[in-house]
Amino acid sequence: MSALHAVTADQPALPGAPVPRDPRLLMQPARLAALQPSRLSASRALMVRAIRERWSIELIGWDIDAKSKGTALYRITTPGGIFDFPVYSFEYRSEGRTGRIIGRTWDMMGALLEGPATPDEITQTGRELPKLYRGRATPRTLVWCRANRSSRAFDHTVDALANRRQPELAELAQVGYLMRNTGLDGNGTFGTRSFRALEPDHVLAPPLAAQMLCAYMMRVFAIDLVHHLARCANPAAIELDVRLQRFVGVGNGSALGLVLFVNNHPHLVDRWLGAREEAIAAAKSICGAAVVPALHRLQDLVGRAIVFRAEDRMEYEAFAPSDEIAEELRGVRDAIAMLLADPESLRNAAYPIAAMCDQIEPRLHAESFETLMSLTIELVPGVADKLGANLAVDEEFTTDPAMRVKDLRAILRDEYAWAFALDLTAPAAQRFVWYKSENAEEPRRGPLDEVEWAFNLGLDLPRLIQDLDAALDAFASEASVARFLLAAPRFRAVVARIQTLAGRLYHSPHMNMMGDDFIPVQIVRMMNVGLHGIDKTRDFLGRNLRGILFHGAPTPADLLAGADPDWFYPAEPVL
Amino acid sequence: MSAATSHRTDEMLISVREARLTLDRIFLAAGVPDGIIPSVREHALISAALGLGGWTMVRDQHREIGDSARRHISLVAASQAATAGNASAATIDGGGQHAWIAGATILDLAIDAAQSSGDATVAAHNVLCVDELAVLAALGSRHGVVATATALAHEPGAATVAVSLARVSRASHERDPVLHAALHRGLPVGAALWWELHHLSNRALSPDTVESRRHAGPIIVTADGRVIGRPVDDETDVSLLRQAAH
Repeated sequence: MSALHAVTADQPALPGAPVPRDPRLLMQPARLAALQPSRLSASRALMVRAIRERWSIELIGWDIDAKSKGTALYRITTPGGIFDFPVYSFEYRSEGRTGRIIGRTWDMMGALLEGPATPDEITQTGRELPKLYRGRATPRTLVWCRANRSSRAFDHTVDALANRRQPELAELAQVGYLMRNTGLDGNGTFGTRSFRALEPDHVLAPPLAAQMLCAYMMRVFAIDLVHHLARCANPAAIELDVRLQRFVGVGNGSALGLVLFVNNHPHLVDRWLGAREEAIAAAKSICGAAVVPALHRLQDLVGRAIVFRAEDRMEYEAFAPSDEIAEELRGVRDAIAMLLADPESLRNAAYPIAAMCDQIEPRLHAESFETLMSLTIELVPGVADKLGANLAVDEEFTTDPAMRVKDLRAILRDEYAWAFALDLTAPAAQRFVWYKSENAEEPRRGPLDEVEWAFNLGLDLPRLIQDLDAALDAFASEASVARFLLAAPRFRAVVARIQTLAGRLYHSPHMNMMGDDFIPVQIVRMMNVGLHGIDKTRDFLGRNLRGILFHGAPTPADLLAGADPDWFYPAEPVL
Repeated sequence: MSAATSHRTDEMLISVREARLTLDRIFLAAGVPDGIIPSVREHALISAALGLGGWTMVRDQHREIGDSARRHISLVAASQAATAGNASAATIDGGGQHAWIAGATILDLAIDAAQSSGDATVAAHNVLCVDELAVLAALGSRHGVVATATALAHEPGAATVAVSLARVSRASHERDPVLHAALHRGLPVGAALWWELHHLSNRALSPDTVESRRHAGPIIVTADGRVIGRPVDDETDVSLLRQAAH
């Protein structure tokens, strides 16, 4: 497969070579919602590294009773450092239980500490963590997390194992997880360490890597806990079949907060989408003798995706049914096979993979096409991993006060044409307000007339762009931005944003998040599926998603022994 | 910082992220316009990092700062001859704005004026808490300039801000050394004061009502008790959505 590595991100594109896609297409919310997990998704990138470096995950302490109450301690050893993951487990109770952040009941809480953690750190974490908003993390803490059981799948699994049989696959597959993440707080929250202060070569320096490691540890703990509870019920209980251990992931519910995250992290969104597009372009650029092995590899990967989609038992409200995606992917596999069977086409096209993608795209649902795009990234693993290692960004905004008004307007015209194209005058275009409740600071979105008292936290970017342009129009074109902001200080924040992000392609979805026609879950899905790498994301009420992280991922034993890098898109195990 | 340390010394170390979030909310609730909140927050952040008015000023004067944002800063005079370092390129009437409101405008004007000669000085009058303009030294470095603010002893509320364009590109920790240090070491604050600020910042959050709970989540419980959305399963205590707020 070495030929696949021939293209690197450092090589300049040749004339006619595939290039990153036009933001006018990619930044449409509907398109962003169609993006699929890839090697550049945070959970998958973490596994790439854990597999390559054979991370060791050991259970070094377990003091949990038959009612689930107690503590455990895990140690993660990587070539770049040791991390400890103390777990505080609680007795199950149904009151106050919800997937929303306003929930008051958790089955486990955990913390990821740069280790080895001292006994004092463990004790202090155990004291502070349950306080959550009033608690303070120890200085070497990277993340605090909490999770709840899927009662149905969890109890069913414990019962089955205690009765010396494996749980029903249908029951597990319908849910997909034993425990579900209900909160990951790091990067300075509650006194955790700021990720920007991590050393550049820190194992968990890539964005979201620390949170993803915590989520993975939730799965590790959930499996250990079902084993423990089954043994408590019956000392002769069996363990969950290792194929099921791989199959179950970690549940994840996400919602409106991710839209605000996108508002506040345009540098990261741009860097990640840019990296993804660069990797795709590199894959499409494979040429010469490398094409045939690349197509065979792509064919295999598409085959995995077909099975995965065909076996998907989830029902989606607004997104494409998986059986339709599976059917379209069969067409993609056929197109690859036809190309492989046509040496003349392979010879004549400068970039056969790109030509094939262009040819089949019009026939495909966006999700099918984006599945193909994500899979092409696997053709250039070296390129992708190099890009993925450079996703950490400086996210500060600064004005350029010496810029001339005419130059600022030119940026607006060049880079924000989408915002000018929106009609913002209709009442429906400004119907909503985004706010946070005093209860757990839950992000909410409601009609203005229902919450007139709320402070808006949403970024009304297109309106700001239009208003700014109108204000600039009344100003001398040769005047400086400094003079403009003297006269119109209310535009300071948006001017700093525009100037800082000038020249970047993928920082802001082309959306009016205040309007009636904006569907929040589209942006939530971009983050959950595309960036986090979550599978089978069910959508609810156009604003919530629930899906599965690390679906099919190696177990700790697999990691140590050398796991299969192609763990994603798992087929249902046949026991 | 550790909580244990906190309890012993009554001093906490707050992360930059926590500080920004808290400051944003306090200023939002104090009526500072959206468009300048990030700027005002960065002035306050640097002030806290440098041990100036900082946290105490936020607690004691956030309302005045919000009020002062409604006043107008204006250019009194722009000198055509101000190409040499010592002459004032511009004179500003702060209009009674707090230094954290006026600072960014003054700095911008000084940087703009320095473009031709490499140096410029802006004179500012009628600025509240004018000593706080000292934060411009740190904020100026984000623009790659050396900025110095000097309060005028003979005139309350007046200062000069001198800017010299830096000629070399610098590493990020040099571009923003105060922020860099705060990111790595945190920002010290008395624990009691911090929780006061935290409480103040919560004013920007909205009351939790049964109605507003319908504005988030995979399930809506309507006024007549119907459940809309995600099929109810064993992971949700629906009564939580029906209860009156505590």
